[in-house]
Parts: sequence; structure tokens; C-alpha cells
Amino acid sequence: MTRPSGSLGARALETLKLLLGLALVLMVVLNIVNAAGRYGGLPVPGGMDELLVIAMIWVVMIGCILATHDRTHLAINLLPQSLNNDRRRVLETLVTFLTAGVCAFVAWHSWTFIERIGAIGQKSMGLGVPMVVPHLAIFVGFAGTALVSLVLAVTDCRAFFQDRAK
Amino acid sequence: QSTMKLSSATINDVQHEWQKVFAQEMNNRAGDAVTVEIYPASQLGAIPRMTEGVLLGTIEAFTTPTSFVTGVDPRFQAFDIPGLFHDADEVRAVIHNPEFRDHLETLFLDKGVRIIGAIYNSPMLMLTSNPVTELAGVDGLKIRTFASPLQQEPMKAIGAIPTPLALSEVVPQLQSGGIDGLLAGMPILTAFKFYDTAQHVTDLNFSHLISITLVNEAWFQSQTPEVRKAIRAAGRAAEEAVFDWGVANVERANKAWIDAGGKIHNLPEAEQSRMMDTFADVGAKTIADQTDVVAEYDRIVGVLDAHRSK
Amino acid sequence: MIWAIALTIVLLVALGAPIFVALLAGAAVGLSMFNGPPLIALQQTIFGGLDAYALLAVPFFVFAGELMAASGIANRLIALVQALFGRVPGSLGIAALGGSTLIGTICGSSAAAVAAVGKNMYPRLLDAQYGQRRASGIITSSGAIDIVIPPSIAMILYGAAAEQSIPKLFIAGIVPGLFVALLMGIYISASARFSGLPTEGRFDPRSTIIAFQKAIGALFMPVFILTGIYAGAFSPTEAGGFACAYAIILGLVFYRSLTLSDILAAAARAAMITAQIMVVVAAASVISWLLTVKGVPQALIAGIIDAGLSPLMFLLAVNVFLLATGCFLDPTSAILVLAPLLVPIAIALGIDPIHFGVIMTVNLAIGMFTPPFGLNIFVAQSVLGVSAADIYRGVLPFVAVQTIALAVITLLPVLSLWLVRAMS
Ligand code: NA
Ligand code: NA
Repeated sequence: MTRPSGSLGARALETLKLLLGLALVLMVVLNIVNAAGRYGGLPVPGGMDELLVIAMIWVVMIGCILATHDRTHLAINLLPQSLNNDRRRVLETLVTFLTAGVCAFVAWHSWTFIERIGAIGQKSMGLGVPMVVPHLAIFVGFAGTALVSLVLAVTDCRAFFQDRAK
Repeated sequence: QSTMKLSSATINDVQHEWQKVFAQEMNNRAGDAVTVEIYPASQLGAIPRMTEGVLLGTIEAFTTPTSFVTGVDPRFQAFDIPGLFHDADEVRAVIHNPEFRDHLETLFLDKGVRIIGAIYNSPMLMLTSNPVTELAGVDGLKIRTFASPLQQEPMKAIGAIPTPLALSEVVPQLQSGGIDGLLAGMPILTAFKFYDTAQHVTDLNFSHLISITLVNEAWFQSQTPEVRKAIRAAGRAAEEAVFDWGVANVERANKAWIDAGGKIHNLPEAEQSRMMDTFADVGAKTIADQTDVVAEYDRIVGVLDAHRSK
Repeated sequence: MIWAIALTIVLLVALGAPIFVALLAGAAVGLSMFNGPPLIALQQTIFGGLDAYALLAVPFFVFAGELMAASGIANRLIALVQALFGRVPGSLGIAALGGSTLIGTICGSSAAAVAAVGKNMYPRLLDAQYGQRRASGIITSSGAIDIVIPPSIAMILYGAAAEQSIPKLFIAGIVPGLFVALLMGIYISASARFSGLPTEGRFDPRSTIIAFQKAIGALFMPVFILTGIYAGAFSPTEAGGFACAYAIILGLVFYRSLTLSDILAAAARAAMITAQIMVVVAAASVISWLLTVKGVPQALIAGIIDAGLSPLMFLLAVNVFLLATGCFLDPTSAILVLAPLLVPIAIALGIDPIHFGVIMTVNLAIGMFTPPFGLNIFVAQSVLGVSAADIYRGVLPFVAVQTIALAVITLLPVLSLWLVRAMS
């Protein structure tokens, strides 16, 4: 994890990461309680497996937004690394714009899906929660990633032209 | 020219057989107008994904036991009330009754799906690691069920501990003794080679799985009148044609089970009928507060009563 | 259409786009060209890629690995191996390898092993004149053993996807995992002697006993995890959660090396690693769905059956294919996509599905550090601060060593199966 810098935004991001960590700790606890209860022959409430999976999906999609901000997504950066500074910055900015575009495209269709599944009112088998709840994580993750990428790309662009002007 | 993707979670069972016969029937009736493609064995995703797929039209049709789609509409539960059907012929009398079949076809149109196939699948069995030959043997057993009250409440009523568990966890937990058994139909048990893990099956005969094929209604309506007519006729022709295959398939599966070293047990008659009475009570209580489910249940019972009185 | 998808993906990956973006862009191109399923299928398949209970093994085991590093459990295990092999040439390298192997008996994630061993051993390897390439090569490649030795995320997913017994797969992985470690140890030692690297320390019974005593709580961890699985107390997937609990109790109560905020920080790191891995899994599942709907795997299988390959030729072809796949895909996505397709063929050819599971796992383990793409390479890059180019050169000899091990494991099913048979 990066050291929290002073800015409000950076601290908010660190807090969000710790919240994801907290969610993971709670998932571990739920997993243990569930397994221990079953082993002990206690009536285990149905849908605990669903709850764990839904939590995991939300953690992954929120984490996806944060990794976009930190630029820590898995990628092969051999080509960018081999370019000179200016070219590298241009390529990276283009890729960030592309990320914003692709994620916005996915978020758009995700939203269409969610509207329709919401209208049908399908519920999960175990917990009986509306399927909109887990599906929404995908929309939030990709919409957030698109937004963060757009901000990063615009910031990169501005910084690039300012440096060139100097 | 359109494509009709038929999906299901299983392979080489009565659901798959229906799809194959349906494809032939469609070819005879509609020729090149519709290309039917079959995707068995969850090739297009897990059951909840196929369900959403047919609801939203990313998949044209999905064949599944009714008990997997109760999240789409609770009225699907009406077929799974314990003690409803005594045997395969009673299931046939209901689902192939022309008037009931017409009613069933359009029952879920408000959810955007039409039923184009209704087939007898298999009786519900209980697989266990140790033999269960009387009800006392069920006491305290951890039995994997769906997280649905219609499976859990009857199991509780006979002393088992219903244990919902993710599908991928069932085999490892059965092997290590984390659970003692599970509810399933015999074709599933043999297809997934459960005899390698546990050898004992008790034929509780408390409910019979019915499989249906759902088609996306918007897609259906987008077809020409001739194609719509062909689909409806091909579905009905296929389900009539595979009924005997399905019944024989249950027998084949039972034989395969025995051949693989498995055992099939029955409860003593007195215990069986006592259990069925208990299950009937539990089933009625479980759906009592869902008037739309009760209405469907009553309609099925009406058809059954007419059949039994013949 | 297939070519348009492949071209989009390869081009974007080469330009340095995040892997998941490249895969999704390929999927979007494919779906747009292909007038079949509506585009909302994107949501459905992305979600479907994540909505699997067995995938919980990823966050749990990654968290367990982070906790082992944070609590000092990893260091105690490394110190024990170092005390045992003090006099052998290349002993520091062997300590890193042995540390990875021991951590692998507890943890199911190879990225976590690379991080834990890397933080501790990399500076020491540099001090001992191993050089950046050799040191990063050892650490990056020995993490792969972790997914062959039980518990293993890869095997949990293979078992779930191919409907095979996960406990049997775990047992089957023990000997092949140790065999890979043995070959690597021999290579590390021989190459250290050949390059004239100084031998560190010497074997001292007293310090070995002390190292053993310090590591005993950690050494008991795999016993606890495997006993729990075989006694039915928890499933292999759930075992990851119990591994976390064990590490927390050991670090918090007995070693007093963990604070609550350390635990939360480790969890946050694990959550981020999980997100990075699983967003790729989700995106890869869209591609695999598209290929299925286009009939590609079905055609591939028909082709293999028509070609009339012998079981051995089939395994060889699978090895080549998986090694190539592993260069670009992470094992989690590769197993979820390929196991359901390949296992029925293997069974039809009379290949034991458990043996096949071990072959697939070893293969994909090698893929984790084979250039250009591999989770271990990414983790090593960020933890060790070494350039990808240096890691690429450093891992090459180990790709060769582990490929030899893979060939032996493929040709001798007995390595995988004799323990399984002995136990049943
Ligand atoms: Na492991
Ligand atoms: Na690789």
C-alpha cells in the first residue's frame, strides 16, 4: 500500500482500501462460522455461500477502481518502458483514454442489463435478495473505473502540455 | 433465418434428449428458417446465468428442472410439493393434459418467458454415505439440499439437518464426511459418478422432478407465424416422444448405479406412507401464505383427481 | 471474427494496456461483429465469471499469504531451511526455494509466496553476490511450486470445473511438487558452485534446533489445514479462511508479531491483489463464452479426436498448448476456461483425470513465471523493484528446469498417483 499522503483524496482512498480489507476479514469470519456450524450439525442458515460470493464480487469491483487509480492493474509494460519519456507519456495517456472508453462501454451495457433484470424482479435462490444487488457491483466497478481513467487521462494530458510549454 | 440456442446444465439425459428431438422436429417443420443449436453441460454458463439469459434474450431457450427457476416466479414451486405425484404416469397425466399444457405454456408470459416443453425427469432420491433403510437412520444426518423451504422443511420433519452447500463443495464435503448425503435424481447421480463417493441411495419417492423448456417471449414473437407454430408443435411433439425415453432412462440410471456397486434402499411400507403424510402436511404449510402458488397447486391436484378417478 | 478478437487483444496487451481492458476490448469487437447475442451478454458473462464459490479460494489464500509475511511465519520457515542447508553450495538460494515450498504447504497462492519470500530473501541474495537476475529468477520461479503442493487454488478450481475430487488432487500434488523443488534445488546448487558463489555459514546442530523450535507453530499449520480438510471440518475452499485464522492467532497471541492494524493492512493488500487477479478472470470469461458460442472449443475437440492422437501425443500437445496459454493467461482463468474442455477428452483417451489435473497445474504453475505474462513476474516486479527485462532473463533457466520436471511428471503418472492409491 502506498503511504497516505496528506491530501483528502489520498486519505479517502486509503480508507476505502482498509474498508475492503475489513470486508475480507468479515468474509473470513463468516466462512469460519459457517463451516464450524455445519460441522457441529447446527442448522446453518441458507444462502451463506451466496453472501460470501456477493461480498467477493463487490470487493473485486471496488478494488478494480482503486487499482485503476494506483495504476497497478496487471499489464505488460515492456513497450512503454522501452520508449523515451515523451513517447511513453503519450502512449500511456492514449491507453488510459482507451481504458475509460472500454469500461464506459461495459458500464453502459451493464446498466441496460440491470434495468431489465430489475424490472423482471428475479431473486437469488438462497438469500432471496434481488439479483440487482450483486449485478450492480459490475456496473459500479466499470463506471467507476471509466471515470477514474478519464480523470487520470485528462490530468496526464494537461501535465504533458504544461511540461512541453516550459 | 434465425438461430435458436438451446441450453441446459446436463448432458445425455432426458433434457438433452428433448432438445435433440426438438431440433429434428424443427428441421422437419421449419427447415432452414431456424437453426437450432444445442449447448448442454452448462456450456453457456451456470444455471442462474442461463436463467437470466433466457429472461433477457441472450439465450433463446433454457431447459431446466422447475426447482431451479423458483427465483423467477414462485409458482414454479407448485410442482415440487412433496407427495404431489405418486409416479411418472401421474406426472404425464398432468403435464401432457392438453388443457393444462395450454395453461402452462403461457403461465409465465408476464416474466417474458413461454414454456415450449414439459418433460418428466426423475424421482427425488437421497444419496448417503451409510445405508438408510428406515426413518430412524435419517436422524441427525447432514443432507445437502437447495436453500429452498420445500426441500429443507421436509428434511427437518424427518430429523435430518438440511445443509445448503455450494455445488462445487458437495463432492469434497461428502468424501470427507462434512456432509452425510444429498437430495438428487438418479440420472444426475450416475452422470456425475457419485458412486465413487457414496454408494447408498434411499428412494424416498416424495417428489418427482419436472423439467421445462423456457423460450424468450420477445424472441418468440419476433419470429414469423409459421415459425411460432412450428416451435409450439415441435416442443409438444418432442415431449410426448421422450416421455418413455425418460422413464427408461431412470431405469438405465438405476441399473448403472447397481452395476457400479451402488445400493438402492426403500423404507418399510408403513414408514414410507407415514413419511408421505408428514411431507404432505409440511408442503401445504410451507406454501400456505403464497396464494398464487396454492392456486397452481390446486389446479394440478384437480387434474390429478380427474386422472385418478378414471 | 476470431482473428479480429485475437488481434485486438494482442495489440492492446503489447501497447501496455491492462490485461482486462485488452480482453474486454476484444470481446466488444467480437460481440459487435457478431450479430447474435445482444451486448447485455457482456454483463451476464462478466458476472458469471466471478459468481463461483470456489473462487473464494483466491482472496482467502492470498490473505493467508499476506498474513504469513506480516506475522513473521514466513521468515521462521526460511530460517529453518537455511539452518538445514547451511553448508550446501547455493544455500541462500536453496533457503529461498525451500521457504517457498514450505509456505506452499499452507498457502494456495503463488503470488503471496513470491511476495513473502522476496521481501525477506532478495536483499540477502544480492548481498551474497547472486546478482539481480539470478536472485529475482529464483524467487519468481520458486513461488510456482506453491500451487502444485497442497493446498492449491489452481487444484480447487480444476476440481470444481472438471468435477474431480479436490482432496485426491491435493494428495496427487505432493510428490510432483517436491520433485519440482528437488530439481530446482539441484540446479541452484550446481549453478552456484559453477559460478563460484561463496557458501554461506555451516551446519550447526544447536542453531538448527533453535530454528526448528521457532518454526514449530508454523510447521504445525499445514497439519492443521490438511487434517481439517480430510476430517470434513471444512472444505478446501473454506480452508483458506482457516489458514488466515491460524496465522492471525499465531501472530497475534503466540508470536506477538502482529497488531490489529497489521491484520487490516494485510487484508487490504490481499483485497487489492484479489481485485487485480479476478478482474482478469471476469474479462477472460467473456472471451471463453464468445468462443463457445462460436463453436471454437467444440471444433478443437473434434479436431483432436479426428486426429486420432495417442494419449501420450495428446498430453504432449496439451503441454505445449498450455505452456503457450500460460504465457498470456493467468492459471485461474486458464483452468476455468480449459479444464471443462480438455478433461472429457483426457478421460476418453484413458488418461486419469487426477493425473491430468496435476499436469495442468504444473503447466500453469510454469506459466506464472514464463515471459511475457505471469502473475509471479508482476508481483516480483513490484516487490523486488526489478525491471521485467531482468526478471525475464533470470527466470529462463528455471523455465527449462521446470519444463523438464513437467515432462517427467507427464510421462510417469505414478508420481502423481501412487500416494492417491496408497491412501484409498
Ligand atoms: Na500450496
Ligand atoms: Na506466463
